[in-house]
Amino acid sequence: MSRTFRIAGGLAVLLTLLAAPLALGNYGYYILAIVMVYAMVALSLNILVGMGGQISIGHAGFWALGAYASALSVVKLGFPFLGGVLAGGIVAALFGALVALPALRVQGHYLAIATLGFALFVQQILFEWEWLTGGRQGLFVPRPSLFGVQLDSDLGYYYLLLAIFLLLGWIAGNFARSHTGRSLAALRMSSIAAESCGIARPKHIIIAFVISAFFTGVSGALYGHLLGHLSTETFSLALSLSFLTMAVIGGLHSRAGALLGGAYLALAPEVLREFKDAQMVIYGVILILCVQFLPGGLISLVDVVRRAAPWRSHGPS
Amino acid sequence: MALLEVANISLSFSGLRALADVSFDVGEGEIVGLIGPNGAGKSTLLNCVSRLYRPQIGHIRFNGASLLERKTHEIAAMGIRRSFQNLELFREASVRENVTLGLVYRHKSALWNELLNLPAARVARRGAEDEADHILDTCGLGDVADVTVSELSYGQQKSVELARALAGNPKLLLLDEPAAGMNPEESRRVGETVRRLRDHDGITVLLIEHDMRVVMTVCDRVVVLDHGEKIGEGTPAEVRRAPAVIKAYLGDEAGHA
Amino acid sequence: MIPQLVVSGLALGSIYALLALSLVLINKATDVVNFAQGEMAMFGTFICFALLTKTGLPLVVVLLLAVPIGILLGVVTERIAMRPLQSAPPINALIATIGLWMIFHHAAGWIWGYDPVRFPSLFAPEPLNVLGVRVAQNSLGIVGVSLLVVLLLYLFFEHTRMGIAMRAASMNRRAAELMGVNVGRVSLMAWGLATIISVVSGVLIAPLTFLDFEMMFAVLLKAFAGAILGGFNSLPGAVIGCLVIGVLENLFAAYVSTAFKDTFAFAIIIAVLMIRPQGLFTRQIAKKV
Repeated sequence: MSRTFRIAGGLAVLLTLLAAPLALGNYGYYILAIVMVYAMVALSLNILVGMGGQISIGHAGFWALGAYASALSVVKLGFPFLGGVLAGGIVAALFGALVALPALRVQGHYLAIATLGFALFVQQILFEWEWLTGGRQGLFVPRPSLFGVQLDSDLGYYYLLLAIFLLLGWIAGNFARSHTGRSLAALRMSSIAAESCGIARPKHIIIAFVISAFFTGVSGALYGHLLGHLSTETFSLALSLSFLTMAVIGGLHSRAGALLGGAYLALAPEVLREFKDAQMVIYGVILILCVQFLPGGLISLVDVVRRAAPWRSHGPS
Repeated sequence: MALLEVANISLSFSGLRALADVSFDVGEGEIVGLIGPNGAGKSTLLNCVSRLYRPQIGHIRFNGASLLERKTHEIAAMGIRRSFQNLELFREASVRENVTLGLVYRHKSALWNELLNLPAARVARRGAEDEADHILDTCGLGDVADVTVSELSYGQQKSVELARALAGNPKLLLLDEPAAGMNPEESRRVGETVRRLRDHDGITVLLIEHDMRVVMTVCDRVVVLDHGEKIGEGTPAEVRRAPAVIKAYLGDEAGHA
Repeated sequence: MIPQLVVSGLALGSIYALLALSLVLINKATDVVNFAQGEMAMFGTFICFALLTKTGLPLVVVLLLAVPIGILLGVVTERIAMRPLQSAPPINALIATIGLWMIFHHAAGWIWGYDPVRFPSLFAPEPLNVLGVRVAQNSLGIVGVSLLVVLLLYLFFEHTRMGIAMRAASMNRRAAELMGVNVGRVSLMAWGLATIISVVSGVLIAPLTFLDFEMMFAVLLKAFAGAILGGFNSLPGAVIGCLVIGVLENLFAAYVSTAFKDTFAFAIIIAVLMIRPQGLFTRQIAKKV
């Protein structure tokens, strides 16, 4: 993709995101905030699955860990808001390192099952430890105050989330261009070749899981403060599957794809409201169609359009 | 002390014996050929040296240090690089990226620097870029540097894999059938390249080859394997006359080599 | 107490074993693991239930219809969802089976509702006395069917052309194709066969657990654990692994904690994957370079 196109595209997206609330009403602010939260998770899966070639159907586990670690540190330990969010990310990241260990030994469906087990285990613990998570009532999480400014409004919170998403996106981009990130991609393309080039597989896989878990943990923390309330049922297998679905559908290899994925997961329940029961069925169908016809996700349609464009110049892009 | 010492290597895959008590040395600056009929265990042996497989019995020493305790990714730092029989390129990546990936392990910076794109990371990247450019030039790949490797011809792809191996500044190069799938002219050029790598750059080479012309003209010494055992060793001329070797290639009705 | 736990654990394990056999079958033939196997079993069982209640056919007939239902379900799914992905990177097939899981799991709830229903059993309810331990007849039926299926599959893979072709296709698709094996047909047959087994297992399990859309989820996980324990490429290994899981699960629930008995299966999975990923009965397969 040519540089000018990327910059122009990036600016367009940024402007859209900044201006979006103007076009939408109050309820729209909340949806936009949710889009940001989900987009962060999609970003984390871009790193783990898109770059690293790993699989996870247990990311709800990291999301839960981030959400509860942050909420509890703010509510019970008096952490400041950003400190809590950071704590959420770090707790999730630590477990990410743990979950990486099976990934060092096995791939594919074995790894998927291991991640599933992790998520179910987390959910089970949260369910059993009612003293920690509030049991049937759940846990109430206050809206944050940042540098003395109380962020009660969804609109203000959205802009904060946008800023954090852009920060995470910037970090993800740096990672993709860095030697470590490219070594990770090399391991995905051919781990035998990568290792013969001196690239250490264990180190890179662990890093991928840790960064991915950190991003998801941060997202979970922010989600808790957005929603104001946490209940253990939220962090189910269906959620992990939805996360993977949205990341694939949006596009595993692009940050704009992560945004699209987040938008998809935030908006689909609204759009499919009449088909409430069939929602997950439709997600499954879309997922399979995507994997068959658009493995690069919806964002890859942009490339299709670009290539067909009549104004395309010849020469290397 | 030889640069590479292979001693009493035996390897079985679930009951199937792939290598049996294979021993030989490769001296510094030598070009040694590893030949034998299909299934003789040549690639298996190379895989043991490059630590993709672990033999059950035996030792392998490089510069006196034992290789078998090392993990696969650690031997590059020791100075050993390789190419693959069936090409293991980073297919989605460009030629330049393939070569660069061959040397990033030497241009490290802390993860923090990389995540925040701090100067230390940028310096490391530039260092790698410069080195990669140099290798691309030396290997004549400058013109196709930005082409995706999957779009190249087979011969060009093999060049890229060699360039990637050379990016590591190796002391020992393991080549698995570098002339496979090539016409006589291309094979000759491969032979010249191998010779030049040794003569100019002092790289020791252990290569597997089926193309006897290349073996005869390029190798200082040849080791012959058959059914996992070493059945001959010596100069190309010696080996070519050895009855055991003729028998292995042509069966009992031997005659002309 | 312990003999009772062990015997009922073995009965429990046979339930997992039937599903595990389907998983291993598809994996042996196509190198794909079908995450949705349990849900397809449940879906097929629901179809049988619908036939039972809507058409008034006798139970035995409906159970026999499980076979064509299974074939149809398996074949259609393979054709539409999996065939287009046969040359794609394996992660795409993996994601597709996850999509299938979502589809079958929620379609069942959507179509037939979320309340559990009673599914009648072929067997009489009085438990039998086996070696001083009481076992439900239905459970014995499951054990019997599992053993029969293992035997038939073993004969199939070792002694029939199609079976050998299947094994070849899973080891190296290209090579098998070049040897004249119709890889597409192998894949189709494997899915059809595996789905028959899993629908039959669903129909046998439903009387024990009530039929509802969550029915097979836990079973799938345990089947996975058992298959991994026994080695994913070994049919008898998967069965033995599942029997072990069943017994251990019962003992764990009785002596340690009932709440965590599902996650206990995962602990086993993780432990096996870390210590001996190829399971107890399979040899490690190295990639040739």
